[in-house]
Amino acid sequence: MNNTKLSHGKPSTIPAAKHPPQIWAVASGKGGVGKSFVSTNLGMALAQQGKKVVLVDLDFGSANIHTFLGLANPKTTLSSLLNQSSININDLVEYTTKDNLGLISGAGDHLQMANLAHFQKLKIMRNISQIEADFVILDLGAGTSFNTLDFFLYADQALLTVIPEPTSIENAYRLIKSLLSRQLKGLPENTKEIINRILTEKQHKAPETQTFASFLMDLQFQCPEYANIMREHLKNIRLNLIVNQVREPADSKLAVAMAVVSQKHFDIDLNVLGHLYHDNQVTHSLREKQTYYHQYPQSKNVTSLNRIAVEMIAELASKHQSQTHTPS
Amino acid sequence: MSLESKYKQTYYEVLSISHDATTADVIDAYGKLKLIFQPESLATYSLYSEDELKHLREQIEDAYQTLSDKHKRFEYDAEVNPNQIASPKEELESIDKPEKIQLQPSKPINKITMPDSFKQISGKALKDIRKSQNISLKSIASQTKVSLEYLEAIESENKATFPAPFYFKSFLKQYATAIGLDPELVVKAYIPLQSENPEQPKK
Repeated sequence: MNNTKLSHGKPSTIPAAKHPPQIWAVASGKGGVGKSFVSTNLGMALAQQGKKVVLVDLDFGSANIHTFLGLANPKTTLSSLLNQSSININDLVEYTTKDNLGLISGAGDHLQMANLAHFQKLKIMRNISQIEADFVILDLGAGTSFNTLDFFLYADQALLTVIPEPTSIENAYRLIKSLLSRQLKGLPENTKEIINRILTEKQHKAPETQTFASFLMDLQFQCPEYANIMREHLKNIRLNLIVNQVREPADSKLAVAMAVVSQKHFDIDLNVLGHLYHDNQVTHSLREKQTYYHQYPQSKNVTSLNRIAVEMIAELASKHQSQTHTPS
Repeated sequence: MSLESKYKQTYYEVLSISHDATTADVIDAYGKLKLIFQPESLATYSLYSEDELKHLREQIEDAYQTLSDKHKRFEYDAEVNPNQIASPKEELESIDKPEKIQLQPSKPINKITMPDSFKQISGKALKDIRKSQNISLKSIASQTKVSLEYLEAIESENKATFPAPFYFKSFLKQYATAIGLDPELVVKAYIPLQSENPEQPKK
């Protein structure tokens, strides 16, 4: 059975969404933690709930979302957008057999896309917000390059994927630090310098840890107006967390623990979406060119993904509701 | 510019709990943080040095030792006046909302035992204790039949509105009982009364 045949060029029959798409960016500090697995399977779970979803593979250089979707090598890629002047991004979407789940691939774009110029990045962002869909999921590259950080900050919601291993946690925190530093790039030079020192240096002298959170508290104490400006900036960072490849029961508590630590250390809300278990079937599905989501609908992971999708939809609905209720 | 932190976290902030947290909340928060900041914990990996983690664990331990013990917590609260910022808003709410307490007149209060060394208490400290007990002035007024104006005078130490000393002491005792304090001790320790009573035993 092959339920994910490519149906390129077929226009979607689902009516265009009334709102601009809700953009979720999925990133991980470290590669190999299942980031693409999370983004594709969340996409399938959202589509299963009847939402129109477009995945955008921005993991330049190692784009493989199409493989997770069971699609062959894509015919069109994102680079067409940069090469051709009059192209509608919606024409670049390739649909799976589900006509409410599409993909814009970045595969084969390595040379050009890995080194995006600033204006190219802006052009892609502008176009992404014009995708006709309820949800757009950006699959970002691992690491902390400016490309990754900027798309992460551009999205409505950022989703951080980690696995219960020290290296993954270390890189996830590094990503959060880079995000803070990037988000506050508009600050005066000397303030930025202090913040970067706080974020990167280890102080061996004082037993009291100087963290970004305690820095904000000091600032609140000494110069409340300035602290408020900074908090206003930081409010735009909406971070969510999924712990993937959980093997031991104790690791299922890692997500909540990381949320507590982020609050204490960075004064940042890390919204816990949940955790997914390690499952050898993921690899099997890939080898069989099948989608895990559709092959194992009864698995714990697919159940969790469905619950997360429902939460994402509810969050979006409440956002739309609060928008329509504002007096015009 | 020095990188040393000038702001000292309160024990409540260390445990990430609110000022009206119950002892059960304190124990719960402590248990969770102890796990998160234990050696070998994944959640803190790379963020802290060994020394910093050790220091954090000590802070958590200190906060727990103080806040889980009613005596120590009372002393600590009186010392740091935790509700300074939050109080005006809460008071407004308590005036606007219909009094719920009347539906359950026998709501249990946490009795606070004061240490023998306890010599002085300000109106502000009394107010903080009342807040920490989650009792509104209005509910005390309806329970004791002491007018709201006098109850407010107790907390604000506004001597101009104090009634005659005999009545005032009686009101103060009723107020103290309502917030779970020993009435006799409070009358002796209440600062505005001390200055008015020159016959107060001298040290």
